[in-house]
Amino acid sequence: MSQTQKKKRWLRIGRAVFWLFTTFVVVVFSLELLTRAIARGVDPLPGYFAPNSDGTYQLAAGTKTRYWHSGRIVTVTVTDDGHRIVPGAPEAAAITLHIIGDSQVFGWGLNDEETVPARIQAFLGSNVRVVNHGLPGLGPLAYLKIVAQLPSEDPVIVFLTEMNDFQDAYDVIPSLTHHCGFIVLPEGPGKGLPCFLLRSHLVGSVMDLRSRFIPEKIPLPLGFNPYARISARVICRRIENNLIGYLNRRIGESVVSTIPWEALVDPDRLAAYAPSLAVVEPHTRLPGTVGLLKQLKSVATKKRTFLRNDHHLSAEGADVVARYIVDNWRGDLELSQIKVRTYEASNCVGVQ
Amino acid sequence: MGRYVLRTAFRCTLLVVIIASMVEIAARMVNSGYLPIIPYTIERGVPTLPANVSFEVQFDDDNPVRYVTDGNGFRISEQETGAKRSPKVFVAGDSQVLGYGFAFSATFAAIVADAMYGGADRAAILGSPGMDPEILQYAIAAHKQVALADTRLAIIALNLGNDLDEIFTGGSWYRGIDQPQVQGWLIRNSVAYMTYVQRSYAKALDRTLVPGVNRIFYVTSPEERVLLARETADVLLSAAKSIAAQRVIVLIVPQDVQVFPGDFGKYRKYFANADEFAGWEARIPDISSGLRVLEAYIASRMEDAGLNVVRVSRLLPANGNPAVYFSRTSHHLTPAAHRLIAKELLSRMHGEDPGE
Repeated sequence: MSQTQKKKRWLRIGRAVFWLFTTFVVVVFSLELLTRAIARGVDPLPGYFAPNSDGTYQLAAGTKTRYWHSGRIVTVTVTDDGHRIVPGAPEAAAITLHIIGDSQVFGWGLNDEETVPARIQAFLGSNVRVVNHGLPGLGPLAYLKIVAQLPSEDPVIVFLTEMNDFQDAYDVIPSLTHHCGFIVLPEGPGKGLPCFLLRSHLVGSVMDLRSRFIPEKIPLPLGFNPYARISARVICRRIENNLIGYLNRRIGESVVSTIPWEALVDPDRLAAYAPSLAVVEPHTRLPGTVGLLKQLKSVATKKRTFLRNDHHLSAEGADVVARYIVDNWRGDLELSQIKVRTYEASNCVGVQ
Repeated sequence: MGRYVLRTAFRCTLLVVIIASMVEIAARMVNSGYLPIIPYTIERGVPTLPANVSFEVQFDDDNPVRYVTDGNGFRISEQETGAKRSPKVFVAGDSQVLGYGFAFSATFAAIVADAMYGGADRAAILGSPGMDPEILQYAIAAHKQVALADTRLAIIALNLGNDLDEIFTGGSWYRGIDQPQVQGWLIRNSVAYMTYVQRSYAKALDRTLVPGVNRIFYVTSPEERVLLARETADVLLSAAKSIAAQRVIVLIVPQDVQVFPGDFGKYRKYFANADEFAGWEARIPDISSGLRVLEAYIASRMEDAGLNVVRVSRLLPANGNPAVYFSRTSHHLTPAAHRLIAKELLSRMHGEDPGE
């Protein structure tokens, strides 16, 4: 091959690379604009978190975020003191009711007025001020840390989550971490992405499509995993000893209830979990699950109590939970009772 | 245009194949043709060695060791004996019973089988790194009808070095979930992938484990440890009772520092900080006595239920040289410790009709 031919060949390759790159940039940019237009400028992912100095995260105080969640726009408002807003909560009231938990209490995927604390506030009226202490990613030991900082005479309701609170009781530090205003898995792909990519509508859409068409199996809740019977029992005992043990020593009334695993209400969701189970039968149970489960099951034929393809409560589910709690709690508003009410005993195995 | 695209795709594929092959060849050369790890995969929730294979593993700078498995993935004798005889001695547990870094003939399973049935080929070991008693019960249940039908002596091992730790921490994320098929194939066939797994596992352990210290002593409370021990004992009991062997024995293998607290010094090289090492070293006597209490509790719970229990900690001379009985780089037992165990097992079987 002559020098001229070689030169021509390299020129051709260079031109091809240039056009390939330019086409790629134009296509990506166009798709980004298109997805933004379709999303009407609303964020693709929930970016309402702020980092703490110790590496953990909190809600970004004083923010209002609108984002797309499973095909609908959700509004999340965070108050200046860093709690999710409870619409209708009075500035001050004779009783302040603190509601503590993880994403279920926070109201993941729900609008401000649809969360469990918001619905409890609506049912209780203005005599009570409800505070939403829910933060996605927290676990029972972190709930204890929150309760310990509250006035001892104030009533509290702690919601455990059957789906992941066993796993989340391994450590007081959340299993998630902060990145660019979002919460991500510490070693997941999101942690390595630059912020502009995490905020990209195109990337958000690709991630949505991926989880829709190539869903990853979710680990079974520990209380149902036959390969993890022992650790479930130990963790259950840990929750009883620490969280419930502490609540028992408070002056104000403390209620513990557990949001049941979605597959108990909708067995079709079992297919999303691994290892696979033939029968949905718990071997270890967190306290206060049975009553709520009964309520959720009773309306499950008429209403979708959990979000689609998600273990979080739907607006209807949050309403059922709030109604159940208020119906069982209303009689004790005088704060005269010094006890922890779980509405039913746990199935942790005691040390003999 | 179509031809151009096809040609480009072919060239790209070829390039990927060439690079992957070069990486694989380089990994094999670096590992001198041996495997860097025991290539187990998770099948039906159970860590399992590949079936019907023979491979050589070299741990650290030790001599390479051959592992041969049967159709069930049990480790068996590497010696060809002509006619195939069914195993009479069945041992189940983790890497401690598998023989970590030494020949099958040096395992207590082989020694006992040889003494009782005239050949190491009469022993089979269901063992894999990553196994613990809670998972083991599923492995036993899967094999007891066929593979264990002819077993005379069954030994189930509890490794206090890390079984309780693995049972507890295993629940924190995935447990009982099979590996994706591609991953399973790579772990069985690619030395480059094995090296990657070995490195990333070591890195993960570096972040979460204190070398030489049993994790249950810094992630659980004393009451949680007792509950963990009790539940584990009960799982072992039900697994032992499910085996229809003439004799079932539970073997409790201690952690190295439980018997020889001074052996903690061998882990000094894994600590970057001298003060951190000194801090943990000061806690070793307490940890050692904590492990002894747990062992006594587990053993008495099983003995009360009528099981025959061998406590390896009682076989090891307290003033002995730990280097004789435990590996210099981990809590694994040496062939000398296996010989002691075999001697004890044989003395327990003395006078009993081994049966054929």
